[in-house]
Order: sequence, then structure tokens, then C-alpha cells
Amino acid sequence: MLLQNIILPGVVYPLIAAIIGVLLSLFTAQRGTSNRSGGALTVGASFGVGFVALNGWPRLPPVEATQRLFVIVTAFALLAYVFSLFRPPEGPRKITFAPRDRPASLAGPLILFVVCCGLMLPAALEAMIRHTWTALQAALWLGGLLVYGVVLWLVLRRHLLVAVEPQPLFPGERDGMVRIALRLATFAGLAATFGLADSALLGQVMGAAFVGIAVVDVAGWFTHRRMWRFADLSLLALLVVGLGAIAHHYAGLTTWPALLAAAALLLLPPTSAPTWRGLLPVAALAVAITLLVWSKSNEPDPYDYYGLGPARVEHEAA
Amino acid sequence: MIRPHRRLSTLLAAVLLATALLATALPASAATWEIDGLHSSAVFKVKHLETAYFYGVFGDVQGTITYDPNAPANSSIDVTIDAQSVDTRNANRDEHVKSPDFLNAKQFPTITFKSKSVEASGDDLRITGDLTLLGETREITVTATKTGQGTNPRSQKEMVGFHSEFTVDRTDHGMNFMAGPLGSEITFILSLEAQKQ
Repeated sequence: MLLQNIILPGVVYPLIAAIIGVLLSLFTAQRGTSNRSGGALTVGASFGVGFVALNGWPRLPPVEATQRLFVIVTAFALLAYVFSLFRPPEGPRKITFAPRDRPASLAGPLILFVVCCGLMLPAALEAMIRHTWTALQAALWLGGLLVYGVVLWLVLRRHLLVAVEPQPLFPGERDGMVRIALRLATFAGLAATFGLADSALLGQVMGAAFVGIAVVDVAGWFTHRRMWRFADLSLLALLVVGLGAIAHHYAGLTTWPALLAAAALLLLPPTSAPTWRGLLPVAALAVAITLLVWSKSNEPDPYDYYGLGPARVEHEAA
Repeated sequence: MIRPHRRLSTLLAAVLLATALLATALPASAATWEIDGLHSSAVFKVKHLETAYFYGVFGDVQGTITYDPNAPANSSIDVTIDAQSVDTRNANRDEHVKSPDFLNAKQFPTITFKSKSVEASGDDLRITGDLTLLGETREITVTATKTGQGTNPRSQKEMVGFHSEFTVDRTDHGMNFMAGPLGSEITFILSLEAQKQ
């Protein structure tokens, strides 16, 4: 059961898809340029394959939140990859700050992300809009999540893109291996946080996406290529904002762990920050996971449903 | 001598008597019966780890039955079950069953069955209708057995009872989580008591 229903669909198949995705990205990258949208294709492939293996093919048109997220994320990944093939090659870089760091070059990718996130959020939270929220609540939730998505996009950009050069990121650290490990620990912690809500599926599909993120980082490590691009961080932001919103609103991810998980991603350090800053998001997620485990293991449950033991029975006051 | 107003009242009485006689002479038309949620049960069973069936219930069952005892084929049924009311005798498991892994109750708050045609088969009714679970509507045919009919001593309303047991493949409705170890087939047991309106 463990192999057939969890490890194969949640880890092995996403890993195979991610390896195919990253190889495709590397071999189709134009000679003399950095890789293009390797992250989007790889993470999109691992998430998509994991989703289908765990939850089956979504109906078209999709009828519920995770299916809509699947369609948006996989379509975004494929389009990002296809468009990247037709972009002109980069010229030689002679200046310290790349053109992409200028506000004008930032506007296009950011606007594209805002449009995609603005489509994804109402699609994912359609049931809350229809059944639960007032118009004001819907506007506040959707607006707040969109603002969070934009801030996260900017944080991911500073974490993954800005001033990444072929030379070692930090003195004494070969290409920031510790930094990569801390980033992976952050996304693994995020998957664990989602999985400890009432729906195991959300944790598993975030875990499948984590496999893709790990493959991208490992491939970048071995090939000395810059694997993360604007489209890639847009896909990452769409994925975690969407899954987080679904986990909170539909799967009982309680407020404090949800806030800690959201804050953890905003604590991902810029490339210029010291390595220890990468511990902050890991610590925030460790607190979130501890809170979730503590709350579930303390619920009166004579059968210990979650296996977090020991079994607890609620005794009536004498 | 009969006075005019006396003639009018005699005529009115004759018309009323004729109407009453006509009504009893015609076959009874299908009446609407409202499902009594308090005395109706919606139970389900699923096989756990290919070993034993475990049972759960839904606490909130509502709907209407249009039923004509003299012409059962004219009947129809419309049942709505509140997915949030699922009870498996364990609060943690209830939350899991309501989550997107299974019933996805916040996105799909109800499970419904609406009949499309009814055939009489002895004392049983063969009902073909649309079952909507997780937003996916599938046509199924179920057999309902009439379990009794009487009068409620408190409300003095007529009552009728039906029992039905049918199995659906949850993966047909997109409920794929752990299909295999947790049985793909869900058997629903509906015992409905309805009062004539």
C-alpha cells in the first residue's frame, strides 16, 4: 500500500517526470545562453504527474479547486517552456546588475503573474465565494491573497534571480550548497504543513512539486547553470499560494500554522544575505508543524486516527 | 312554495355532492410526501484496507417523494444529503472524510439523487435517476422497497417508508484518494420515512 499508493505516485513518478523535464530544458536551451524556464517545466511536470497519479485525471472543464489549480499550473508550465524556445539569446553580460533588475523589465513578468494569480484565486476559491463569503469578504480575501502573491513573487525573485552569478554565492561555500539545502528544507516543510491539515492529498501534491524543485536545484548544482527564471518563480508562487489557500479554506489548515507557513516563504533570504538567514523560514515551518502535530495529538481520540498517539479520551469532569 | 334562496342552497349542495362523488370515483392522484429527517437514515459502508467494512452515517437527510400507492410508476423522489453531516464516530476521521481527499464538503456541500423514471416491480420500485456526488452526476438505477405505511399518531399525517441499498464506484465521481486500499465501491443504505403533505 505504501509503495503503490504513496511512494510511486507521490515521489517516483514525479521524480521521473522532473528528470525528463529538466533534461528537456537543458538540451533545448540555446547554445551560449543560460537555461530558460527549466524550473517551470520541471516543477510543472512533477506536480502535474504527481497530481494525476494520486488523484486521477481532472475533469474538463475542472470542477473543483485542486483540479483548476492543476490546469492553470500545467498550462502555465507548458506555455512558459514553449515561449522560452522562441526568445532571442541573451547578449554577453558586462555589467554588474542585469537588465532584468531594472523596474521596467520587471513590470512585464510581474503583470503576467498578477493576471495569472488573479485568474487562479477566484477559480480555486469559487466555492467560498458562492457558498460562504459576502461580497466584501470575497474582495478582502482575494485582494489580500493577490497582494501576498505579489510580495511572495518579489521575495522569490530576490531569493532566486537577482545577482546570481557563476561564482560561488558566499565565500567558502561552493555555489551555495547550504543555501540550496535550506531552500529545499523550506519547501519540504511547506509540503508537511499542508499534509498535516485534514487533507493528505494537498501535502502529497506539494511533495510532488518539491521533487521537481529539488531536481532543478540539483541539476543547477551539477551543471553550474542558472535554472530559475521569471516564469519559474511565477509558477512557484502560483502553486504555493493556490495550495495554501485551498488547504486553509477547504482542508482545515488552521490560522496560526497557515500564517506561519505564509510568513516562512516571505523569510526566504535574498541572494546577498548571510546563509543563516535561510534558517528562519525552516524555523517558522518547524513551529507550524509542531503546532499542527500538537493540536492533532491533543484532540480527544480514543483510536488515535492520525497515528500521532498516545490515544486520548476526553474524561468528563467529576 | 320554495323560496329563491332555498333553491340556490339546494343547488349548491347538489353540486358539492356531485364533486365529492366524482373525486372518489377517479383514481387517487400522486401526493407529495416530505422526508422526515429525524426518522430517516443515510448510511454508507466502505471496505477498509481490503479487510472489513466500516460504516458511517449522514445526519441530515431531506427531500420530497411524490408517491401514488395506486400508480407507483407516477412516483418521483428527490433526496438531498448534507455532506457536512457525515459522522464516522471519530471527530478526526470525520474532518478527513469531509476534506478534499473524500467528500470535499466545503466545495460540494450536498449529495443529491433526483429520479427520472420509476417502474413498479411487485412491491418494489425500480428508480432510475441522477446521483450527484462531488459535482459529478451519474445516472443510476436503484431498487426501493416499500417498508410500510400508516398514520403518525402525533401529527395524524399519513406516513410511508422506503428502503434502498445501492453501490456506486467512487472513482466515477472523481473520489480517487487511496482507491484500492480503501474500497472504490461505496454502498449507500437509505431508509426514508416520509409524511404526506
